[in-house]
Amino acid sequence: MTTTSAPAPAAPAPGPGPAAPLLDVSGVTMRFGGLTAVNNVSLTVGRGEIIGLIGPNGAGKTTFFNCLTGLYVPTEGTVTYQGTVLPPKPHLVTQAGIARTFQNIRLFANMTVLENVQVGRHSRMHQGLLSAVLRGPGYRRSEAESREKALELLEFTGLAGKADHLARNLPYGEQRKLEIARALASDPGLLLLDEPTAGMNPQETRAAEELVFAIRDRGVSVLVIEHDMRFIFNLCDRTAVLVQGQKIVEGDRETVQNDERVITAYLGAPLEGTTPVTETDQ
Amino acid sequence: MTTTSTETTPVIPLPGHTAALLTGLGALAVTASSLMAWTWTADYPGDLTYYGSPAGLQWLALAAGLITLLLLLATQGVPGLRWAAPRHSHNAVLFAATGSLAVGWFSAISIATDLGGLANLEPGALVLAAGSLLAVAGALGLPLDRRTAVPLRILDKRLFLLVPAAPIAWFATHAIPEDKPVAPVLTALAGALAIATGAVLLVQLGHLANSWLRLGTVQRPLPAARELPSWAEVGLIVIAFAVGLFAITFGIDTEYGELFTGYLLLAASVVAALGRSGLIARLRALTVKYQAVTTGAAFAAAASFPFTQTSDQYTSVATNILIFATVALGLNIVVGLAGLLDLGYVAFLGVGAYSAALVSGSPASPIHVQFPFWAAMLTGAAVSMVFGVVIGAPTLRLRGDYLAIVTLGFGEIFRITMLNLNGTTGPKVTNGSNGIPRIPDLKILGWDLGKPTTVFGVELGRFSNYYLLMLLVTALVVLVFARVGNSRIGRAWVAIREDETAAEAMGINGFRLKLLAFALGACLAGLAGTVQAHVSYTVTPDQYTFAEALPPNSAFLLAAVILGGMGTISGPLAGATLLFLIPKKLEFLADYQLLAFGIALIVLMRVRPEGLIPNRRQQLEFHEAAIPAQPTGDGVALTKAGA
Repeated sequence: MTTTSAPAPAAPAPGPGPAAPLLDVSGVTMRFGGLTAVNNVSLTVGRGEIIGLIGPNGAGKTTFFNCLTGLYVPTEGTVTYQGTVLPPKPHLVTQAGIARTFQNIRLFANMTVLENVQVGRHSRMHQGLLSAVLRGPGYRRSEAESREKALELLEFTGLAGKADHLARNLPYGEQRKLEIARALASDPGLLLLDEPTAGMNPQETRAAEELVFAIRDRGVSVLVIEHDMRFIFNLCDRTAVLVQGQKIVEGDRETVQNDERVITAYLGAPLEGTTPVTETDQ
Repeated sequence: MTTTSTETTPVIPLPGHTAALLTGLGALAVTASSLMAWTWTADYPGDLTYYGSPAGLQWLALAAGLITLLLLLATQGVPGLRWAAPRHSHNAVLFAATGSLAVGWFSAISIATDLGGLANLEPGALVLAAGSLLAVAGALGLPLDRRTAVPLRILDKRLFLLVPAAPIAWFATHAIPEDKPVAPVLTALAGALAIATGAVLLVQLGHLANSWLRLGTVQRPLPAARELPSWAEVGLIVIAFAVGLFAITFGIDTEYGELFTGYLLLAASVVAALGRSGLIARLRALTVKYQAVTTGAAFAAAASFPFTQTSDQYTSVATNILIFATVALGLNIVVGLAGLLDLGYVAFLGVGAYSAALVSGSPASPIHVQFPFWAAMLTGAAVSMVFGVVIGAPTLRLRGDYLAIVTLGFGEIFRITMLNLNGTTGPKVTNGSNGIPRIPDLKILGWDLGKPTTVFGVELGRFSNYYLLMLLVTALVVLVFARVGNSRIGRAWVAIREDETAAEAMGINGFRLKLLAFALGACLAGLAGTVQAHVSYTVTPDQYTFAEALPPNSAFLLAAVILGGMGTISGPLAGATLLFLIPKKLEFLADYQLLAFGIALIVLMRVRPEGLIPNRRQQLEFHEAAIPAQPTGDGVALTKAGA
């Protein structure tokens, strides 16, 4: 799939078959002036898959994420979701069905937990200004529905008892969970998690693992950036490794763990004899 | 932000029941003094020379004494009065006694200075001064809620250099003959130094008092209220609003500045006292329980204001307060909910007013049409909304400070354009600085608002009519604010205010929603403007400036929103009322009016950064330590760092 970059988006447009991937990233390059942060990266995410994305600090993982979510417009390449090319606006990407969390938690700190999740529901509701003022039956139904859905998601993430707390007053781990609940509120087909276990202790990390599996079981595919190798390898069906903006390898646990270039990227090249693999690769 | 430990001890230890006795005696003396003569001549405003018939400031002393007494008896557990202090905090008594002290000493000092000497004080004033002092001294002996330790803060030592500098400057001004060119400069310098020295000394004195008094709040659960039948609870709400109406009417009707100052002093301490006693929390619980009744009672109280007035003098003030408050509430959508700092908001009021004036049938209007009122109102609101969109579309791509600067510019552009559309520098539309005069009074369904009408046997003057009309507009704006604020759109606005990037990632079209907030705010301000044009007969460009000594202008509108409480309904209403009344009633200070006003604003923002009536979120934001429902201190520190 990744090799046929140019004509691929056009072909499955009418109705994506069961075999077509949910998300198809082909040849995405992002340059900031002279700096190439992401260089010709292609990646697919199938339905019900959990895909990991790892790489050392500064490898371009978050930039790649921002290209997927419309925060950046990629310099080259296309991102296709369910057969349609994604528009370069964050809110339209969410509307299309991709939700995300942030590396540094970005909750609406002074809103309650419930309100945070209800904001996540925004793109799936259609009540405008006038109906809010008139409060007709349609408005009340939609409002009740949004509340119900939000409460259900809080139950799902284990925050049911904290609905009326301010988001800022939640402990760190629960803030992470709330970000996930908020992202799920938009009924996404694909959830992008940016370092969901950063700053968590081992128990919390295990709980996060369970949560990601539960999300997959709801029928949502997950693409996750992470530093915690154990977390990634326990979780993911496939893992891609990004080094200096380039995808150097993609595959299951064994492939990635035994790949010398990955070891070099993380631990540095052996002292003598062998030439650095990444350089020859380039 | 760690929670400080607290204790319940007196500031001045007094044996046995002495403290309560002293307080009681003091409060009684204050109460009694209101029935005595305070001065011998009728020269002091209000005529305080009679025995047995309180007037002006004496009413305030009577109220202060009675409230202190009531709270004292309630905290002492006198059966039948315990409802007045459900929290059982003696701090309430202290605050009420401080109110007596403030009113008493302010009156005595103001009489002595106005009439030129202490000899002008009759025994009544002396009883008042001594009694209020006694009450405060006694209250300091009651077991008060205090923090266990407050370190004394000393201001930067260099600031104290001002203390010798001020008298030197003063002597210098007197030593130099007045005809020397430096004399006025020196006088100004001496004045500024005196003010600065006063401020430094006052602040340091405040720190000293704070570390001595160590007043704090001990978290006590509010005991459950006694079960009352619902009619009785509704009755309590009605009584509370009746008292509130009476208090506000008293404030608006104060005839001279001294009385208003005394009123403000008393009102501030009584509100603080009732807050400590727990009575306000009780009332709030009731209003939450009976929301519809509360809204109805508030509206009824506001609507009955004109019926308490005998002349148009104060209904015109009240009408202007309503206009100002309504516009402030509209601005609260833009600033408080969506977080867009708009420094040119008054222009939308102007657009509404000018639109209404042009179609009002005024002979000065180049368009010789007279729309019926409803059409004029819709025109004003619609034109204003279009302006909101036109100004918002290019500017709302900016964030934060940049937006503030651009809106400030647009506000001025509006005013200058209106000045220039005068027939010489531009097409003749607005008559330039002369404005559009002689706007006829409104006629709604045959009811001429310009003529007095008689309702329930009370004659309502022109301004009363406009007051009632404006009240309907205010109610409409309140309704819109309440409903939109608590909806999908309102949540999206708050989300944009909190974090625009995250909001966009939640599927919120940031630009569109900001434009919507801008347009709605403009529309509501325009609505108020249509009424304003008719109330004030004339619209001129200089009514719509950025900053001026009198409201409404953009700076005052923003101050009303921030002072009152961002994101709430009652906040801007209360803030606008205060901001309108203070400059109006402080006119007797003449040159020092703006200075006093500025100091009042600084003090208020220092004491209550979240506003007079904060919304729940803001309260949590500014007083984090005081909130009981939190996981742990560590958790908060962590989340703050992480968020």
